[in-house]
Amino acid sequence: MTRAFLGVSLIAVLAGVVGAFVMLKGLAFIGDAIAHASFGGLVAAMLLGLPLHLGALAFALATAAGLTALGRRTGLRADTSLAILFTGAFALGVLGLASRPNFTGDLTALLVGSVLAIRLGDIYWILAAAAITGVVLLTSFRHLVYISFDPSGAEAAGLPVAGLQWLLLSLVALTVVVSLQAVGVVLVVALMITPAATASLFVRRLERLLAAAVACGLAATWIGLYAAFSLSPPPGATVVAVATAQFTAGLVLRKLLRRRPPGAGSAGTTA
Amino acid sequence: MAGDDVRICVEVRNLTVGYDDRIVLRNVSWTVPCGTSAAIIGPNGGGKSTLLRTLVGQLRPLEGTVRVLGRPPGQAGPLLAYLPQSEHIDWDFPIRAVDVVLQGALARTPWWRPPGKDAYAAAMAALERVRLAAEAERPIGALSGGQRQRVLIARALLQDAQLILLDEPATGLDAPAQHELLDVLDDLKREGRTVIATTHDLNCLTDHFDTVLCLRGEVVCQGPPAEALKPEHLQAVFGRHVPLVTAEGRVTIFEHRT
Repeated sequence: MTRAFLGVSLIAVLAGVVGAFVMLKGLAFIGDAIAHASFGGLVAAMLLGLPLHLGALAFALATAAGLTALGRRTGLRADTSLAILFTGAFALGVLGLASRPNFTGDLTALLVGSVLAIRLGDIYWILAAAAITGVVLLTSFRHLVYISFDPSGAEAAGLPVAGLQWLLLSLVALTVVVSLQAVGVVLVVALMITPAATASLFVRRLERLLAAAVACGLAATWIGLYAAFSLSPPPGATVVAVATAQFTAGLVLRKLLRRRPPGAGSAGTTA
Repeated sequence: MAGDDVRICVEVRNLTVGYDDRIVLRNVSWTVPCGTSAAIIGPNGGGKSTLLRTLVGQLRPLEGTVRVLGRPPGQAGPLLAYLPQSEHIDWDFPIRAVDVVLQGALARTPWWRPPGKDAYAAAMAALERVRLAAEAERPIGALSGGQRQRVLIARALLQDAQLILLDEPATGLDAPAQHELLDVLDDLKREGRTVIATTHDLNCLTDHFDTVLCLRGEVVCQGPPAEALKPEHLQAVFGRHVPLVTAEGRVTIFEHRT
């Protein structure tokens, strides 16, 4: 249980930080697609007897690279090339599983995760992903902001925009892969997007948005895990449900705050 | 530095350029001496933005040669600043005006070094020069269209770009905002920088740009505004709705009926 708690908390921090970029750049669909594509990698690794993370990471990174390349070379709309890539990789995974009927028992765990089965090895993967993300953000945070805000201007000034875009997608891929064990292919994008979206309801500065997204993610994780351990629903889904409830409550709260007439905040107190 | 020894900032010879399935510009030859300003005018689809995108290296010439600051397009690095059309920028991105200006330092500082107090002071000085120091801490999305353009110009100043390309900077600005922008562009030129802007606002050209280039799929006219913007040229560029520039620099638009 301590391991599950630690693992999911680390994931919440990582997903909150990366998720803020994913939300701001409108990459939610891409994050979801990378997660589905990594399913193909998981199955391939399973069939070949390789570490699952490695297979998932290979497929996720290949999807990220394929997206950057397809978008630039074919002139296809990004969502078109995306849909082709991730459904193709997901289909490969399904075909792989079908070829070994005895694996079907693991399908649910792959799709919706299995928090309690987090092992020490998974924690190391999460720590490694967090360390890599930390180094990338320490050195390239401003560059990533620049290409997100004004890609054409950044490219003209000499920034390697394609490389930076691939770097950002790779961080998304890494986050997705290390989160799979906990929440699975289908729910992982919620861990990135929902806390960031909740934070964005109240915060306008990027640095604060990152911090608030992490805080929302951690709160959803802890409440979700506590509920799951006391009432025993599936933990991954519970965490995501709490995050969604958080967002809904945030929407209502913001509406209430905005409806209050100016100056009403000091009503009942002396100025 | 290329800016020190290159006299011609933009040199285009027999350029033909377009997208996969269509040619947008044919046989364009054009030069812009360093330290001057040039306006590119023409109707929508006439090739103004296409020419700028070719200069920054985002589109490859199908034929002809292009040199920017004495180098092939896309090789000028921080010496060139490009302000794309407003809709290509994510104005909702949650950053302050001063953060946008600080982006100008990125192209010139090593990857691993965060901008220090010097860079912040320089960014504030750049905002001062575009008369926006008071707005430094505001989110970029909260600024008006004209202020946003000037923030991007401040970024180009921090980058110390010698050649500044602006795609439709005046679009959507009211007259006072346009004049504030043009005053800033005049300052850039006084500092010896080269300014190229696409625009359809002929009124400002006579006062603020040294030369104009009229495009409608090809070069219709070029030269100093007084020579290039003759009624017959303008009609060839704009078709039936011809904007005319008077001696005082005023524009009237009349509909040409045949």
